[in-house]
Amino acid sequence: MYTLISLKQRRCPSIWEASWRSILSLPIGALILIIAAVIFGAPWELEHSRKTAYWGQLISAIVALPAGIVLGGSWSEWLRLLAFTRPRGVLEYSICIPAHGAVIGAWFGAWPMPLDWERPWQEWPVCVTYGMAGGFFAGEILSAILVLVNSHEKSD
Amino acid sequence: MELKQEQRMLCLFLYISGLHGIGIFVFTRGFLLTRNELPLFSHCDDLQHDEVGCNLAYMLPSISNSSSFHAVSEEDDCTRQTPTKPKHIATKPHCWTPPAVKKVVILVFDALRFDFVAPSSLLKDKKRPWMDRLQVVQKLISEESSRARLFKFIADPPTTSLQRLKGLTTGSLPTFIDVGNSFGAPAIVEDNIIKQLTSNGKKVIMMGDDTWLDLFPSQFFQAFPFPSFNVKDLHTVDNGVLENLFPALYEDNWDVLIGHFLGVDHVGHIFGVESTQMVEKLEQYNKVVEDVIAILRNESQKHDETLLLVLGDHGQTLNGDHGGGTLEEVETALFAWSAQQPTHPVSQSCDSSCISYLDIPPSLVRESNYCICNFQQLDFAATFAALIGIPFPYGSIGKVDPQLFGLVARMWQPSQHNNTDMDEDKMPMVEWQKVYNTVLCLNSWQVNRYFQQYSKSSINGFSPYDLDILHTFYNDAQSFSREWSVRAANLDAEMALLSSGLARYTKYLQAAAALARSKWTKFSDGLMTYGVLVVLISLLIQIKAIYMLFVLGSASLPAKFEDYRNVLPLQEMITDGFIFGLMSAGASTVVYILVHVIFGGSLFSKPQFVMISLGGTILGTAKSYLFKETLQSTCYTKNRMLRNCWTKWFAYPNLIGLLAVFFCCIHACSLLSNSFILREQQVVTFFLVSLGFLDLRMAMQQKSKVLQALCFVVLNFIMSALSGLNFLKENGYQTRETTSGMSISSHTPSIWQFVFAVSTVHVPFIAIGCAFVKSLWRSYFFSRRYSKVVVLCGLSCTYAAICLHWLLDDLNTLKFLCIPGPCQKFARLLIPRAVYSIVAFLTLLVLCNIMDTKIHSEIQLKTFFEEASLALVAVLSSLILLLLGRHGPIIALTAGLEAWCLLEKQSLYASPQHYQADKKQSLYTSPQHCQVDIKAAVDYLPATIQWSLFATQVFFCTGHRCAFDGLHYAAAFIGFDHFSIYRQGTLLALDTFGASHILPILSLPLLVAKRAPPLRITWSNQFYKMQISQALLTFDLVRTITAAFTTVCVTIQRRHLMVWGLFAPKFVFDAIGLLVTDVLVLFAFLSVIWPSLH
Repeated sequence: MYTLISLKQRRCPSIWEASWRSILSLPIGALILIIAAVIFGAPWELEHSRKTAYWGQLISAIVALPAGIVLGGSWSEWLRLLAFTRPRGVLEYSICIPAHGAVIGAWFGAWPMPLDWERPWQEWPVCVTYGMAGGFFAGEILSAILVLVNSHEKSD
Repeated sequence: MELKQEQRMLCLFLYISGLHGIGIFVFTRGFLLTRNELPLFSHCDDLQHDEVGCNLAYMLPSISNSSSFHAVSEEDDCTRQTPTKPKHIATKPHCWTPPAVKKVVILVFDALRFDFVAPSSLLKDKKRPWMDRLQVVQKLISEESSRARLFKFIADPPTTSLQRLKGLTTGSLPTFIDVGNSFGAPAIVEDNIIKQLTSNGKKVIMMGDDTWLDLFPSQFFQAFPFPSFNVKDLHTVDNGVLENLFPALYEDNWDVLIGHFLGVDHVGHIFGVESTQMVEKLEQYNKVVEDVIAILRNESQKHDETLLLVLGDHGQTLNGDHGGGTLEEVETALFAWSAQQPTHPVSQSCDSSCISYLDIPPSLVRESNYCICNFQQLDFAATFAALIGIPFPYGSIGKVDPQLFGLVARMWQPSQHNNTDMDEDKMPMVEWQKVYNTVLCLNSWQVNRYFQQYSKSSINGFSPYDLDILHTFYNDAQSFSREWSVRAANLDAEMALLSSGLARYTKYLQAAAALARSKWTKFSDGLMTYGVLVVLISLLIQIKAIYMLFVLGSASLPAKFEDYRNVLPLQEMITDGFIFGLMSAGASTVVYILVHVIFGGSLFSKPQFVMISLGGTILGTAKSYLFKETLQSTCYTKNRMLRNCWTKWFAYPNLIGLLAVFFCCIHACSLLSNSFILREQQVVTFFLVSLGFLDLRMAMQQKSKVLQALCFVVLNFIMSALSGLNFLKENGYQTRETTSGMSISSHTPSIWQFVFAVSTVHVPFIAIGCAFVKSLWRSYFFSRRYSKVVVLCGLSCTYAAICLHWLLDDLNTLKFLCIPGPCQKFARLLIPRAVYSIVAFLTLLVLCNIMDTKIHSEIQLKTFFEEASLALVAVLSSLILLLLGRHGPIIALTAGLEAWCLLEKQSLYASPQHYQADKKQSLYTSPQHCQVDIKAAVDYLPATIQWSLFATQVFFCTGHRCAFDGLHYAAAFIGFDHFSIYRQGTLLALDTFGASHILPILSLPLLVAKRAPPLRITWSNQFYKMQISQALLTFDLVRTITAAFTTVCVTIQRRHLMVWGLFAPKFVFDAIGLLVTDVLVLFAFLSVIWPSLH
């Protein structure tokens, strides 16, 4: 939410445009991320579909929504941020790095799932969500540090 | 004579394979204990045919003619029934031993801990909630000590139900691999008590755990099996047993009744021992035992000579685990209660093996006059057979237990003959000892017969030294029976003689059991460590070899003569190996002699001596290879290269390489956990997809091959989804889903079924065939025109023939057409055989082509490798597809597409921007060309790891599992009806390793061709060969890492619950896979370098 607030202050796409982008980017991002998760081996049978859908909305809200609002439909911008990881400016740092962190965290979060400890948190998507949240916050902190360091360098 | 580089490379491959072979062989000798099952059975009339050498007068009235002997009880019985002593066996009243009981009720409580049953006052621990719940047992052993007895029943590991039931019924020590004639089915082919019961006309009723039916599919007179694999179900099996048990007790139509309760085992697995459910279960069992005993007492006319045995097959830990060899798991209880009132109680002394009552107040001892003895499960079969009067199972190595045998057998041993004026007290004791001596004599004879037969008929029998010792014991014991026939004058002397005989038989039987135990149940830690170390050394050597090739590939050109030596410093290695081997041999000899002189014992045997010397040799060669200074001639290049490497190391493609290595290591580490082994398919898919996404990212960066990278990821998913749909999968312990492609559509009309079959089987199959033929059509690889035509025709023929084979089969099963019998037979048997021979012929043809190709220019080399491997793969894949069966084609099509995407993606790594540097530079300026060549020495790690992961995924997607029941036994019988171990074994191996080892390794040159940059004149003419050997070595390395981790894991987890269920099969598959990989890598290497070897 920090991202959202900062975004509205800095770049200011009009509030209507921002909401329009957010409405579009949330389901599209969710769809793409759900497909990716299923390819990674998330359950896609009917009985799990609801959980998977909720999880998709969540990760989309973290990864795709902020980026969607800021970047809009520009493919080259998306490529620059997500394929090359070359963010420019404070705003993009605070979008790009937490998004990467969330994805990587979710990836690590999937590790304990096959273990047979039979704990409730091992169920899909609980630990993946924990990993995602952890990665996201780590990314936030990292991006803050990077922004600080960069601003120092610039001032020097 | 100096060796050429190729020959050195060949030696390197041979060296690595040799190390793997030695390591795995030694490890297997220490870990996988094998036992051969002898398909021999004991018979009633064995005693007449063979030279038993026992004084059977006490036991077999029809043999003994010494009627002057004291009329021993059962002889009286027999003569009463058959007064004329008939010679016919059929009318003989009993077989080896006279039956002491008529009926036996066996209640098996799975995972019954000893302290569930034993009185808590007996145990050293403080009282816990689960103790003293089986009150009825404790009451009986204290109140009716002459007819009830509790034993500590000691199991041998592996303590899993199936192995234990096998052990209990055969009287042997089941190992992990019991080599028998059964091809996959767990049914017992060895002699066992159930078999003996049936063949001696006794009727056996079984109720409970369906494992019994797996083991004895047809022997039971009546069976009420209940499913055992659902651990969470606590009551189904138990209630099922209870429903059938009590009615059966009122019936009179059985001789042996087996009731197997699973509740305690399942409660242990789910809730653990310290749970309220466990207490409830035990109280329920208490009730069961009480009721059973009440019925046995009330129905005394039916059960006057009935024996009740309550036993556990193994114990469990407090967490409910079992399988290993800890005391908690091994110790279980056996409770025996005889319905018959003893004619005269004989108090038996508690010997040293029994728990003494010392720490309990004497008043308690006086009022409860009983003791608890140890009883080996090994002895159960023999004791049971002796009690019910059937021949001992052929492979039984147990000893008839004196306590249990005495408890029950005393009852048919009356003391009514008072013709001699002997001491009234001692008389029954002497009689008892005589009978027991005879039984032990028979027992020893039978055990000795088994040992001799076993060493005669199996390759890995016992060592002659041990057998000699055993034989002296046996001769000693047998000499007793001769002494015995000259009977002693007075009772005391006779008694002394008898007990000395007893001691000798016991000594022999115990020695035999100890020998068998050391052979079949004890891991040899030394051998296992040795094996693991050798495999780890080979791992280091492989890493070094890859590094060496990497450096050589990037070294200055043209490669100087001494560079070749760096591939494999053969002379140094031989010298060093020889020196080290000699040194270790010498040292061990000195130590041996010293120990022999000082202590007088022998420290190690001949094989150990050989092992030590071999270890020295391996160390020597490894040392000289590993610590050799690489490339003195290119020292400066090395420095430069290292510097360059580090600067370039974290560039994105290298990062992917690092991550790939990381994934590979994580995958290997994950094999240390049973859950990850169980889910290995998902794990592999996960890593493969991760690499796929990284590649996708790189493709997006370079804006090329995006589609292929995307397709790779998607196809990956499609492939696992397809395999999930099509195949029978066992999901751990949980459920078995049987949704095969055909059964989905079993309700639809047959025309749709046919269309379904055609679209999933035939269309993909034809597509694969066409793809191969088309790609070969364009190739220039065949040196002579006619061979190309022959290969193409043959290939089309095989594909058409396999298609026809399936089509006819489909039409027949769907009742579409009525196909005449001979035609069916033709389709079923002849077509596959024809395919086998055509494929063999084509393979030979392709190999011949490879051999006599002359390479005219280096430019041709790349296409040559590519097309040669393509031709081999095309020919072999038709065979493998035939073996994989109907589910094969669609998976194979997906896999083929995926492989194509993977190959296409490789150009990302070799894309121009990585090589732009050398375009700008002129060719022979030295610093730059070093730089250039560094990049030319392509690192195959990421690509090969991906390829290897992909191969593993194909293994799982084609429906294989790392378990012996996951083998496709049906594939071995395609084209054949009859079993022959070599033929069917080969087919099975081709089916198992075909798609995951043979095809990927043979197609590795394709990967290299896609990956490597186009040839330039600057590179030495060895370039592609080096590249291919580098790729082959890397593939081998990846597989070695996995196999090495599996080996280490098995070593660590050798006492784990799942070791026999999961780790050991995984180890076997990985080890065999590694050896197959070695052989194939060698083969691929040979086929690649052959043209230039001359």
